[in-house]
Amino acid sequence: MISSNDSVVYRISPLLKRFLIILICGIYLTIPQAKAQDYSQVLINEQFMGLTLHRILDKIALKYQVTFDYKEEDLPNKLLSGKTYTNKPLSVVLDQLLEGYDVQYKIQSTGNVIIRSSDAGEDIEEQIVKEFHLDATPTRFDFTLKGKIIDQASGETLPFASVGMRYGSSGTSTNVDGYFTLTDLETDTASLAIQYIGYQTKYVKLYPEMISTDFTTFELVSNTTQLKEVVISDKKEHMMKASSDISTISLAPAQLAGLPSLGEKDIFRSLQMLPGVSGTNETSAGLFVRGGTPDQNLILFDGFTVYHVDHFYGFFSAFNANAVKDIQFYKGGFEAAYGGRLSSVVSLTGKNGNTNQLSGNFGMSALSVNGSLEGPIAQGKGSFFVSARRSYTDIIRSGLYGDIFDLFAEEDGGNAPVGTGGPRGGRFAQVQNEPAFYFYDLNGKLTYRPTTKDILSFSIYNGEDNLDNSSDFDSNDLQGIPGGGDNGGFNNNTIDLNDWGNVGTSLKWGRQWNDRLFSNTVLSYSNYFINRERYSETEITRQDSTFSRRTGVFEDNDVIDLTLRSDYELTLNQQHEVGFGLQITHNQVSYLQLQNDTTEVLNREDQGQTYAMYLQDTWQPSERLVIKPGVRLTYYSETADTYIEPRLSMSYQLAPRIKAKVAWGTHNQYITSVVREDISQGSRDFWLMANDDVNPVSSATHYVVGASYETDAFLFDVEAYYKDMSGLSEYTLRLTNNFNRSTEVSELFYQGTGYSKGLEFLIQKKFGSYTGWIGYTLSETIHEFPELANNPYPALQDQTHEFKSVNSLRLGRWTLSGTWVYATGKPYTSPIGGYEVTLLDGTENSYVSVGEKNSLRLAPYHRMDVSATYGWDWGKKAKAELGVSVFNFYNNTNTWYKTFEVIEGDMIVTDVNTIGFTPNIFFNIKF
Amino acid sequence: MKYRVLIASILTISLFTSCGEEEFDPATSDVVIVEAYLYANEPIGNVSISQLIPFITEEDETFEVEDAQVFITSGNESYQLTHDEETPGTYYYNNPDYIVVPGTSYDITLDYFGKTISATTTVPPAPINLEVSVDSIEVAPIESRDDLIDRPTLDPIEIYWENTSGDYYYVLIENIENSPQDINTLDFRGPQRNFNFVTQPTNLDVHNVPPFSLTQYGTYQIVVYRVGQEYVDLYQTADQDSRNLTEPFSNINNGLGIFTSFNSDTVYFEITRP
Repeated sequence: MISSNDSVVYRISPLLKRFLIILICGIYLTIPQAKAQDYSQVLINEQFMGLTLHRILDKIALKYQVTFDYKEEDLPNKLLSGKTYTNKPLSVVLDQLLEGYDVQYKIQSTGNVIIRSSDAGEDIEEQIVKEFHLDATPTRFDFTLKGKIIDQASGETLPFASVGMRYGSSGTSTNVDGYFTLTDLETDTASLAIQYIGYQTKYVKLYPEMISTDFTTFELVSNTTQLKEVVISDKKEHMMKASSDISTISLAPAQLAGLPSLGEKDIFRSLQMLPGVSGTNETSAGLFVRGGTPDQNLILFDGFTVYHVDHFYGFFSAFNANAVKDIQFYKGGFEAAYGGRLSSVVSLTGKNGNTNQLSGNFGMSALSVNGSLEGPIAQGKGSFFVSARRSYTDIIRSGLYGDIFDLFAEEDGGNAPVGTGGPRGGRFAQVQNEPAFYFYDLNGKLTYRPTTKDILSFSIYNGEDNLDNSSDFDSNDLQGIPGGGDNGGFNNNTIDLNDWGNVGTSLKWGRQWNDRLFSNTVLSYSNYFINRERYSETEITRQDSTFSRRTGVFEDNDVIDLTLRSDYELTLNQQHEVGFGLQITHNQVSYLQLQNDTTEVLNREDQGQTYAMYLQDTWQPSERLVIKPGVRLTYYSETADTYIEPRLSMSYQLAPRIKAKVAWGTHNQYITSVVREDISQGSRDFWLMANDDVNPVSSATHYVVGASYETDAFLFDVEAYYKDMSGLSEYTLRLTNNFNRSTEVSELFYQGTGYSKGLEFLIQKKFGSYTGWIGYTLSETIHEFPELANNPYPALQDQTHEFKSVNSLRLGRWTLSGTWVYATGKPYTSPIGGYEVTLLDGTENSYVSVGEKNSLRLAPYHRMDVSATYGWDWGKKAKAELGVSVFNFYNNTNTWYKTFEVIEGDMIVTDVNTIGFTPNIFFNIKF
Repeated sequence: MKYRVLIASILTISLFTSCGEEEFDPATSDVVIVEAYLYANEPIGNVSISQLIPFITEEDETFEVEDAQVFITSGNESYQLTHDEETPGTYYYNNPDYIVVPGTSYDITLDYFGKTISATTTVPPAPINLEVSVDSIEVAPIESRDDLIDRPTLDPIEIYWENTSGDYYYVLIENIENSPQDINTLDFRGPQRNFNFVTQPTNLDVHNVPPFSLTQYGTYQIVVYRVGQEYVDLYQTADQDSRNLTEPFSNINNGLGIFTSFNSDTVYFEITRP
């Protein structure tokens, strides 16, 4: 038995160590820490009853943080008799478990256990040497390795995977097409480590014969394939990776299914569980990142910009997680390649499709069904992927649908009595109409590799929500009340239509020009639209004529984005990786609000272009230090100004496990939207182009500093940020209620400044049967709008404390998950008192006089969601999972907002609450 | 050493949590509320003065303002209003011969809580060409369930006027009989108040009345009021809630509420037994 330990215990400064100890606050003290050890002597305390050999190895691997590398043909999966081990070393346990099998094994110092057949007549040492080419003689020195990383099962390329020397800090990452260039490798027998979120880490010992003159392909195994009792060949990255660069997080879409959800595996809901991102917005899938608002995030899907990410009033995001293979999330200080937004970047890469065989997926939940199909085309030179998801809420109304819809129906006036149309409704007969609501999204992608150096892909996305809450009745049916309020009349239709969605498409050409230059050129089109019509139509038949009149609101906002961008990555040497590119964007934004069919409240038709170029370098002057300077220049046609945005980030490896990180940069935004949660007066979320006049170009400067301490099993990460913002716009509601007159745009916006600062802590358990993280954010977001308030005030999204816990426990075929969020209540403006005015119809209408802006807080928000998922093999090729999830498990009453009313001299405050205990069931099958 | 880190952490945290919030006294207020409606060609009345109801109130606490010096001014003439002791907080001009003149601007002024509270309104012209589509309709009494089921269909009663400028109006429909008789006697409910109904402000030029919605026999007075802009603004102020609370519309300087004026025209029609 060979057993050694080649790990090194590094000393960290006592001060930092104590700081980290304070960070963890004892929460994880009960969780066993990974440390360097002789794995053969790891003591096993287990009782295995009625399990197969593979399951037993699986359990040992997960609990004791070792990995097993074996071939199924060498180790038939037999059911073993009951086994009990008490303080038995791993070597002894393996001896007993493998007794009767014609195999031999070796426990490596890394915790990897290699099991091989004894048939070959060679001892295990010889087999390992031969299999892993340990005796290979190097033939190339100081050479450049070109490669691509793919999924073993589907052939799908893996973007942003990290590739580096196993023993050393030099490395690179794959580009969006899964290709990489690793320069200045010492020899062609070096050892590489390849890591990708959601996949098992792969260590590869190079040997001369494996290296292709073109691209050497490396295959990774997805964690999701392990539903089956299979070989665990190495350690795995689970659903989230936060350690690579400052404020950068990668998520594995395939792993998100393990998290509790409101019925749909949801990318943006998962992002909301990260520190620095508000997790308390049940009614918006948009991200409030470090004090920013959702419109300040750049959302890219296969290169096209997405302007709105909500499905179903924001309870779900607009993206089908099954169509996405990679998520890169930059919370701040992002690099010069990205621009046009103040707060963050979410870059989603759609699946290319399986290049090996036809495969697919089908799933359903209490709200929707979804399916996908993918496969190779053109003799494996290309692939296709299509997916579709549609809610069946217009056909079958589940309890979940009812919960969500009722929340908004109440808010919206719901099935308001026809003819009232205003806040004083309810005196007439209630009209019971059945609202019809549905959402859908479609994804399609074609990928084709005409040559080994070129890759073409065409991606298309369309998602839409549609609500028809209209009603129609004959007012002769009414008894006892004359007329129909302000709308009057007999044949009266109330039209209440909401329709919003996105269409996006991109054509991408990636080319490897030579060993060191790679380019990616994308032509993209994106259209976001929202139409809202809420009006009453009165048809009056007089003796000699018929005429109709409409009263109500019509809103139409349409955003078109046509972009051409070309990005280049030039690997000069091991020290310098230069990125540069150009981007031309044409935006066309229209917003029309009509009152009563004729009165234009607001009518804007804007268009403008941005011409941007950037240059950045990833400079590694030493093994420990990485510096990324960059600059982005943007010319914006509406202001005829050029904006210079310098960016800089650095990371320094203080010790093998400790990294210090800083980032700084300025960011500008040329198109903004107003975000409103309520829809009671019609959706007023609309996009407008910045200009010199009322809606200025907004800008922010990010300062971020952080450190991370990472072991094999744990990540401790802390970041402090400060964000200085100017050119902010705030929308005023009151003035726009004066529908009877046309409103000047200048009346809608006030201009201000603000800042956001915070500390984010993250503790992640990365490996093992139990994984998850704890995040805590301490933050403050202050806005200053002199015309709105005398003093600076907390922004609506300000939350002082936010604590999140994400937990996933794998027990055989079961995955149990739970998340918990606790956050300081959001601010609201204090009412200082109320009064009543008797209107001419005799009603007493109550009003609230407001005090200092946003000076009071709602009650703290907290919520626990749980889920249990059972996975099994469906036949020989398919895998299925069935699960149940519960939203707001302990039915906490969280306040969404408050209403105020004065009744007989008393102020009555009513809390409007978000949804309570809501169970859901889901099923998925993958073939 | 380790305490330094702890203290530093606490200090850092306190930087975020020590944000001072100016507290207001939830039990007091010094804001005056004015509710004053002037009707063209009528004496000055209907002026209510009160104060804002604070967030926290004592039991039996009242908020009517009974001791204000309230003036209505038109041009160079000023009229001091008298407090109505029977209706606390209500003021009127004690010269019933003085009537509000259409097209004239009026100011209201009072000093209270050390502030001068004021507002202006201009009395609108009367509605033009007000007509009702029928002078009289016959409606059979409902004395049995069969009567209810077999009611014949009747054309709507249309009230229309000229409105080329998109002004706002509201409509008052009122039975003016001394002892109105119910059409539906199936469910005897004892003596009833005269039928009375007021619409919301509308910028249409027509209002339709389903005949069966009128519940009494006799003569109906239909008054169409042209309303001032400030009334429409107040009426259309959305429900306020905590998500983005803003001050409701008010045309009162240094106070809240409304000072507005109306002008009207009247037509009549009758519901008779067959």
